[in-house]
Amino acid sequence: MTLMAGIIALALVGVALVLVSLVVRSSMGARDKRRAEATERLRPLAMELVDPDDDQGAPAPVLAGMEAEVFGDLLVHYSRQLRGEAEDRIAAYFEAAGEVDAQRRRLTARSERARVDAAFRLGDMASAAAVPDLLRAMEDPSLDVRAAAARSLGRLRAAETVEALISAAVTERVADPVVGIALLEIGPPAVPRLITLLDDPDPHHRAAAVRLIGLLGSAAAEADELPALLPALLRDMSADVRAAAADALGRLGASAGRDALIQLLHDRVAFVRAAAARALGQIGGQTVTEALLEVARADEFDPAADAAQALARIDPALVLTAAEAPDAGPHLREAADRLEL
Amino acid sequence: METILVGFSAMSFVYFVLLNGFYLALTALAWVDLRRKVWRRRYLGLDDVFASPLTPGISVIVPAYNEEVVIVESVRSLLALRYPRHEVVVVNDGSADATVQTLIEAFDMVPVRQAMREGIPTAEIRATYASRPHPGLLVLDKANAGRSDALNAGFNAARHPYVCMIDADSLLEPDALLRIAKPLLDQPGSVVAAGGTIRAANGCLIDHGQVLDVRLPRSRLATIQSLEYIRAFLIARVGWGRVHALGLISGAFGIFDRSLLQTVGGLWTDTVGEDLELTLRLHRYLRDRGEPYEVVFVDDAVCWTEVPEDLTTLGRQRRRWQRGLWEALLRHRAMIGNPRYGVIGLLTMIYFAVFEFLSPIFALLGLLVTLGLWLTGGVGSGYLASFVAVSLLLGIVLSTAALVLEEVSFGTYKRRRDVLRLLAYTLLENVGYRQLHHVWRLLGFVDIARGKTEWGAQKRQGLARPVGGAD
Amino acid sequence: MSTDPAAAVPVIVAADDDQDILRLIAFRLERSGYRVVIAHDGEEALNAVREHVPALAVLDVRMPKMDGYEVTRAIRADEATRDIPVILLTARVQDADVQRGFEAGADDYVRKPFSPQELRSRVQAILGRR
Repeated sequence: MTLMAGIIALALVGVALVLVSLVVRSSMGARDKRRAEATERLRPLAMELVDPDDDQGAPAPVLAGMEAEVFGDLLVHYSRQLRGEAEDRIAAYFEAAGEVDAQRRRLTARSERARVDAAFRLGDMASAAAVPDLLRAMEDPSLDVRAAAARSLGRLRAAETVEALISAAVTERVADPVVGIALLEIGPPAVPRLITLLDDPDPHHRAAAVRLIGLLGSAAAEADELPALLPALLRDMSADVRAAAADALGRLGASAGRDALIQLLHDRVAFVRAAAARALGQIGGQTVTEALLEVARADEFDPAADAAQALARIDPALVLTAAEAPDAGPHLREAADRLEL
Repeated sequence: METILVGFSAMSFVYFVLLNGFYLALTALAWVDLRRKVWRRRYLGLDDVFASPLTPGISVIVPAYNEEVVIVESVRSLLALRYPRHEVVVVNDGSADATVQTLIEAFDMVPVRQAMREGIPTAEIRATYASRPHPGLLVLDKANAGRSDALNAGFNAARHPYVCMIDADSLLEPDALLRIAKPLLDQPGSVVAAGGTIRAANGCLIDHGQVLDVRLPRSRLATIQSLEYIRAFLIARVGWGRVHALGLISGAFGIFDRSLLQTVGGLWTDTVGEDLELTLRLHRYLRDRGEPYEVVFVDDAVCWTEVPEDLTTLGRQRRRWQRGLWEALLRHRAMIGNPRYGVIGLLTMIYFAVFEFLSPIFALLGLLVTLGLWLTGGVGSGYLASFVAVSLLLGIVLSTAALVLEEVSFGTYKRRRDVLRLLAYTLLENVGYRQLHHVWRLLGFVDIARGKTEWGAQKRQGLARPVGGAD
Repeated sequence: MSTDPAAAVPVIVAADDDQDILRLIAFRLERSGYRVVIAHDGEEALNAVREHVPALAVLDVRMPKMDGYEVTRAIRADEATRDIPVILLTARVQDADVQRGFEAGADDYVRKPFSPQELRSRVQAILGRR
């Protein structure tokens, strides 16, 4: 009987908790509604601040409590979508309102949640004043704080933190893709530091560095040096690095790598051959068509598919005729049909 | 005779204590896990993932059988998913209606001789179509051979490194793909499969393939299933995921490493439990090779699906699940209780075998025998009360706990009346529905014994199984 | 510019599913002397273009119901609207997406995150050209 009573009591506790959570939810719902109203009301002010009519800019509104929060959220939202002067104005608002300093202090709070929140928010406040604090946050014991700080350094486009970001990825304190996203946000200024990483002993980091250089290089000041640097990596020990180097050369459209890439079409690893074919498709040139045709006809699925697509970019007429040959294989036929789309 | 029956009753008493005790533990795990995750959802940085060229591509494979009514809306909303690199591959499984024609007209599609991988053998592909305006849309027109075969053909045609399995009538939330892919970025290289939450779409206001307003269905049966799915996904899957013991990625919404699928041979077409069998096969394959890997559950990646509203269809679905469970367990019986497979062998497989597959024997027959014994004076009222307490009342406790967790971590149902209704249904779910469910499972044994096979049209109903501890 | 005020104000259709951004675009363009019709998804955008036959359409690429490419193609396919210039707002980093925008018939694109000033000058460049 005590068992029965105990379980009934538990069930009643469950029911009570559902009811309590319902009350909490509905009060949260009411709060959300008030916030939504405030958002509508404050949006014109936020727009005025972000994109004023004249160069003077509107004086920042003085707000408190919930309204200040809502206004801050609006600006954060704008800061994620906007560039240029708008961002400077948003930064100026948060600095003047003391928000940047408040969040900087929260980076050393005891609660993990507060630190994550601060590290994340600082990235959307567009204020460079937070960079040193965020750099320190990259040493935080919590992975989530470190990841948020890395993201924020990217959002602030803090080029001086590239080394710290890369080293966080190298030491696996932050996941590679998270650092990758941050470095891409920082953009071309990250390239010189990435170049120094090309002879890192760890193939993962060499591959990541080449990949990012490929994505950023064409707009970088070092764009002219890159085509000479990358072909050496096509002979790297690691297949990942070879493939990433091929992709990068393709993105940069670097014809300097053409012959080495043709060699790479015979690599023993299929995804490297595929990367070489894609790169050749982007670099182009009539000297590559013969080699690509061979791969498109006879290689494994991925390299053959990529070679056929590459050929379709370089020499559509050749693909159309080659596709009708009896030994054309499925990839050339597909590429030919897709040319008609 | 009576001694045997009393013994059996006692066994099923112990069974309920173990099952519900285990379930309480899962609830606690889910609670801990969701408490960690819920506030972190604000800091996922999905905008950044969406904008990043490093986000891996996903091929969404949609098997379609007689879906001419919904397919265009469905494809349109899949193409519009918020994801930087995805394609949609519709595989027509020999529909008798105009599924393919409808697609061709709606998306301006033309025949192409699509190259296909030969990794997984499938039925004949009659034609492939590409869309002029949508480079990310491909349609395969294939002879009818069932849902699994259609998905396998889709895996062969997929161009991206990850594939996402869904149904033609399931609705993904706009961010679902981005959320389910987030673990691929956070734990690069180790996640081989990820499953999302499935919820019952019945009753919701739906427009253009999107759930605009979440409401409970009118149908009683569908409402019970709404509750059942909450319990199965938010407690069982989250809890299992927490201890790295996720045994099932539901075929209604899950992503997989494509080349791994290719290596293990895709979905097994001779079973009705194809998603469970595949998940177990992946665990087995990777553990046999001692490779580090993760199979994860992503609670905030949500797929809405229509659940059956009549007893006949639902019954048939559950009988099929029972048979699928049997087929998967039979094929992977070597894993049951085998320490070589770690927590999957020692925990997940034993759970599936004892607490899922054999559940009707203990849960249903045990209850009936105990009732019978009480009526004939074989056991006392005190014993009956304790039995009811651990079997039925504890079930209610667990259902209310699931509801609390749902309210605290999601608050999906905005209407107060809906939540109160769900609360009331915790009673109906545990007294009545649960027993009916066990009858279906028991009938599933009959199907198994008969070696029943049903192919084609029947095969693709009700895929969003909330297996993983609803019993 | 004509002296008749109604004829002098060029209409622009702006579409984005992000309410805050949509309002900001409209705010900026209205101040620059245009009349702006806003739309929250692809279908609304296409209907607005057909109804108002604007001087220009600014479309976000990723919208519910119809994406920006589809709307652009539909605008180009219709005799009455085919000459309306289209600027696409793209959140994508890939050049392939920009390429796809031009293939669909867009006249220009602005990459998100964007600068409101830049958007305005693109709009003026296109409208000034005509």
